[in-house]
Amino acid sequence: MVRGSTMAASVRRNPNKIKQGSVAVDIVLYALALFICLITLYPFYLVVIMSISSPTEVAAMNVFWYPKGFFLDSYKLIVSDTKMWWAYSNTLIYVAAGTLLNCLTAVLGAYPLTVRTLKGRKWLVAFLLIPMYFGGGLIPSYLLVNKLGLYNTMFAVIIPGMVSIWNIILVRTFFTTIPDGLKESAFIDGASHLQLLFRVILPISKPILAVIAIYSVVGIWNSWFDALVYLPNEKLHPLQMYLYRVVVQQSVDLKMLSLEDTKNAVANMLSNIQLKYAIIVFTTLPVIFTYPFFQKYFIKGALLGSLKE
Amino acid sequence: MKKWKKPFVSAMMAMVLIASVTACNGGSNGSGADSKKEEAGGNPETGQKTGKLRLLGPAGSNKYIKFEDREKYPVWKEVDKMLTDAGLQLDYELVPAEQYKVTIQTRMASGSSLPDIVNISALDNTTVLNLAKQGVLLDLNPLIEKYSNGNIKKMYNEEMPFAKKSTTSPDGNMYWFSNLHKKTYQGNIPAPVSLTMLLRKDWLDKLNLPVPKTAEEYSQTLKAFREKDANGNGKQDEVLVYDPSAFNGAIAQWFGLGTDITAVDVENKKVVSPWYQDGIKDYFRYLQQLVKEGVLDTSLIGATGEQKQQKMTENQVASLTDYNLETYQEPTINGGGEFLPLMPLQAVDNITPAAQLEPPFLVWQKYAITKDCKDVEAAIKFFDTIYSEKYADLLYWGIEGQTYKKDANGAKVYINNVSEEELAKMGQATGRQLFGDTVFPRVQFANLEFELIDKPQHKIDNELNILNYKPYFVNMNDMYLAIPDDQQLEKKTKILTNLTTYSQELATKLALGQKSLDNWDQYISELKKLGLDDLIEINQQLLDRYNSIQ
Amino acid sequence: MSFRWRDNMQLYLIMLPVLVHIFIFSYIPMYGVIIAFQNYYPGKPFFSLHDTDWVGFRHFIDFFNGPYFGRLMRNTFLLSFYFLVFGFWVPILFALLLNELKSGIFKKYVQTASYLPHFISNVVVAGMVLSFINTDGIVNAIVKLFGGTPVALNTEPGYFPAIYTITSIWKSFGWSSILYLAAMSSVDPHLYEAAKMDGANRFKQMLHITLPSIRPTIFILLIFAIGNLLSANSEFILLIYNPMVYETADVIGTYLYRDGLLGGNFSSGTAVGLFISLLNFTLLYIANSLSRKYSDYALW
Repeated sequence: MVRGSTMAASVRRNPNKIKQGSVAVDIVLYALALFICLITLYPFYLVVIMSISSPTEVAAMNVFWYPKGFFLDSYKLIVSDTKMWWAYSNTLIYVAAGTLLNCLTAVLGAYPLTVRTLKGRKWLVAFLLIPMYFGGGLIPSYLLVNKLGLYNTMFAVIIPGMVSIWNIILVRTFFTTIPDGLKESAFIDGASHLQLLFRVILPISKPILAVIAIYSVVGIWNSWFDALVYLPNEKLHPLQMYLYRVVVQQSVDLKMLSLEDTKNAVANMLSNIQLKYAIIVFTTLPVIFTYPFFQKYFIKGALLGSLKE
Repeated sequence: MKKWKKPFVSAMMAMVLIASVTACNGGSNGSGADSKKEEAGGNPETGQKTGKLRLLGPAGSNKYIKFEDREKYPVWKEVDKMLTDAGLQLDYELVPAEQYKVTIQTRMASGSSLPDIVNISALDNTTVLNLAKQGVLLDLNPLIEKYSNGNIKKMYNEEMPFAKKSTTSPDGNMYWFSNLHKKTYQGNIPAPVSLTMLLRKDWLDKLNLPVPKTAEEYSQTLKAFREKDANGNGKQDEVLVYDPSAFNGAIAQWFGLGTDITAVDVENKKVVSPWYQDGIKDYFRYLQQLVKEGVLDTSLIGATGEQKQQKMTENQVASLTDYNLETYQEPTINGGGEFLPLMPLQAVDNITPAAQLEPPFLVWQKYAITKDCKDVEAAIKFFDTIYSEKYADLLYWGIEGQTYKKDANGAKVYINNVSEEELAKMGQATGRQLFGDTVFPRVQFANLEFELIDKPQHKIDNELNILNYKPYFVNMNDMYLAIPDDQQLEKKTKILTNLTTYSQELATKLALGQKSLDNWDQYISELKKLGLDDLIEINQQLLDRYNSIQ
Repeated sequence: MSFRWRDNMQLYLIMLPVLVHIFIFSYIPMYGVIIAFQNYYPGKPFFSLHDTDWVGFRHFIDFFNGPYFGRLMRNTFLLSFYFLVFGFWVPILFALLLNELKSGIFKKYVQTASYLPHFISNVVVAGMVLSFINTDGIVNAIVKLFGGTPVALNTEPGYFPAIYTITSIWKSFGWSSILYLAAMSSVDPHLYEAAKMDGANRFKQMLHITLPSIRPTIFILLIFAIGNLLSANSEFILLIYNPMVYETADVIGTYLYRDGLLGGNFSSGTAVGLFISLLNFTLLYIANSLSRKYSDYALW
């Protein structure tokens, strides 16, 4: 017993002392990790240096290890446009609201499915799964949003997206790993379902909530399709929608253009070649910086002390 | 019981926050649509009543010359005055161009909040014809008869008579107005430009090679470029950029082939298919030869514009298909270069090489009047204003003395040949850059003279030689086809995807030598099975109808 | 009995907002699938006896009889299948690997780097891939180094599945591993402690503690992956394919895209989509039933 508690103490101090292994295995693992780091980091690094290289060098794909021809105009173009800042603040709103709502609805939707005595549980799951496979398409959704009076308002982007069935499934899967004993003892103490959910289950579900949160943040941050359909008013556009317009993403079918229009199209294409990279960097960096905030929930043993024995 | 309140409360607060922000946004934008009111009130002196019109269209995608800054452009002031004088008050709803297709589809699908005048170019033909059939789009001819002051008729019947041919529906009605473009030389000689094989002139000069006059010589020249390292980088990487999957690379026309699976032979009023034409097998043999010698860069087949741009910038492109008068390729070459447009080259003994021309008459885009339009007379007045010489001038050329001037022979030429960014700063833009293709149709009387200014002599010579060249095929075959009726359209759409897929794959594989010409009969029977003959027949009917419309 | 009833009511009440939302935004618009049995164009009514063109199963039959039906189905299935077989376990292994690393800056770097590819847009990834596999791209440079002849990889149908699969795995493994890491992090560290004291080495610890902690997640994700076998990532394929590799690259999604360019394929596109959804759902059902039979984990 004494040894156990000393161990527990030392574990609290340094969780890494838990596992020791042979040095050889360590070397292999670290080498593998390094390799993975390189093959994923390099392309992104490439994007970064291309975003500050001159368009001609980028067009020639001459950039490999360092930027060539210092060129900040793409960033200038983005940053100096007030519309971009509007779009930025819109996105922050969409992300904050959407993430909160998503987490809430995922939890509310998942919990009842974990109670085995719930009548009609199978039907509920079917009810959730069917929309993942069958949908009516763009026009009925548009008609619905229109009828509800959401068209061309921020709610058109927030409300339809505030429930994600996939998230519900993930949360439910996680909830099923919670030992029954915990739930039993809470019930014995006289807790209602809601109390159990919010007092006991949520605090130990931080990892999955962190995952849902980060999936939501990134998903909403990168989304533009809903805005494309429901928001003709550019003042409400999220960032990605704005950037989607700055860069004409589709390749223009040059066959259908006359000589004069081709001139413009080619000029656009040339400036876009480099602009795309700046856009990726611009949109990605804020999100990458928020990740560490969530990451602490994924650390081993983050829940020490929150579990009752 | 209290702990669940926290997340609940924070969720509520989030909603309140959003609501308040939206209220701010919503308030400042009225009902939300990005509409700007135009104070072009009626003219009290002439006693005209003001015609109010709601227009829906895509916003211009010009980065620098923006519609919302239009007040600072003199060309807009002129157009505005024209509209005011006509007694029109316009209300624009301009949706960002990338969203426009989705917006117009959903708007039309819901059938509610339709504008008076709408740009429906983003909709496919079938949808448009169906909307017309349902009465959502109005039949324009009776309206023109009743309300027009004659401008529309003059433009459509006299100045641009080709316009009616491709915008008249099978039932004889016209459901939309279009962009109209005419390019002439020395007054009224139609001036097509051509798409041809461009060849590096500086490399010819550098290696002391003559300009190739036959397809064989062309092939030899390309080989020589490689072997003698024309770009001087020590590698044999000089290539021909050519896509054999469609037939729109100019080499196909040397063999007398049309420019698409079905192509229009304008002079002979026939629809042909390259697959049936005489030179087809020789064409593929020729391409196979180019591939074998490593001259044709196979990795660029089906490549994106950017990849091709990469090769161009790296100074590796010896030849490619492009406009004869283009000047936008050379500046992108690292180290500079010069392209020479080639005349069609003799490839097969008894086949006259054809040119690929861009028609001097173009009709595109669709602007319709919807059934919700309350003031149809005003709508027609709007289009009367558009289809006038004054508007056409402002749209395409701008203002004399500011954006264009007349040269020695009286032909118009642009003055400011600077970047669009500069033009925006100077406030000197033409109507086309400012509001073309949004809710304002383009009416363009272009001339060749301007295209020829400052061009190198070899390009000018090529254009003058090609002006009356025959035989030729056009790069935009659909310009010469009338609008199909329901059955024709249904048949066409059913055939096209599969036929195109097969034709593209087959052409590419034949060119690369992956499929043998020995199995020719098999290929032809497969093409027939997929509907090639039906497609030719339908398109021939459409061509005939096109030619018969007065 | 009444306790059960009250209990159930409580639970349904908790779920009510979610259920209502799903009903409104997912079920109500479902009537749109009806256009699979019509000749629909925007502006036409969905339900009307004379204005709507009812064509029954024609679109489905046309699709089945199309000359490319077999190829499209095969390619769609194969590309997803390769991704499943080769790519499903990569995030898992990567999460296990990360789990073994000591906390610190290096671990953070590796993890952050791993999900960067997720943020690079498809367009840019496609551009990079195409330039890497070009005749004078990196891949061929390595080939030349080993004495081989360079091949234009983007024009050989045989290579396309590999290119697609590898790139898809590269782009997604880091992001997908987050879920597994979250599951692993909720394991009580004392368990590892106890196992070590029982003499278990690292590998055994991983096998008996870490892996089981992510078992439910693995099974659920596997079931869904099987239920997705007929949906390849056509958005990405569109960016890297060309007529020369249609043989292995043309999938249902890309074919429909080309079909849609000619306009007016609302109905046929919906019909094909409906057909694929049915097949996918069937696969899901089968996968779930098998999973329920042979393991504890299932969706229902």
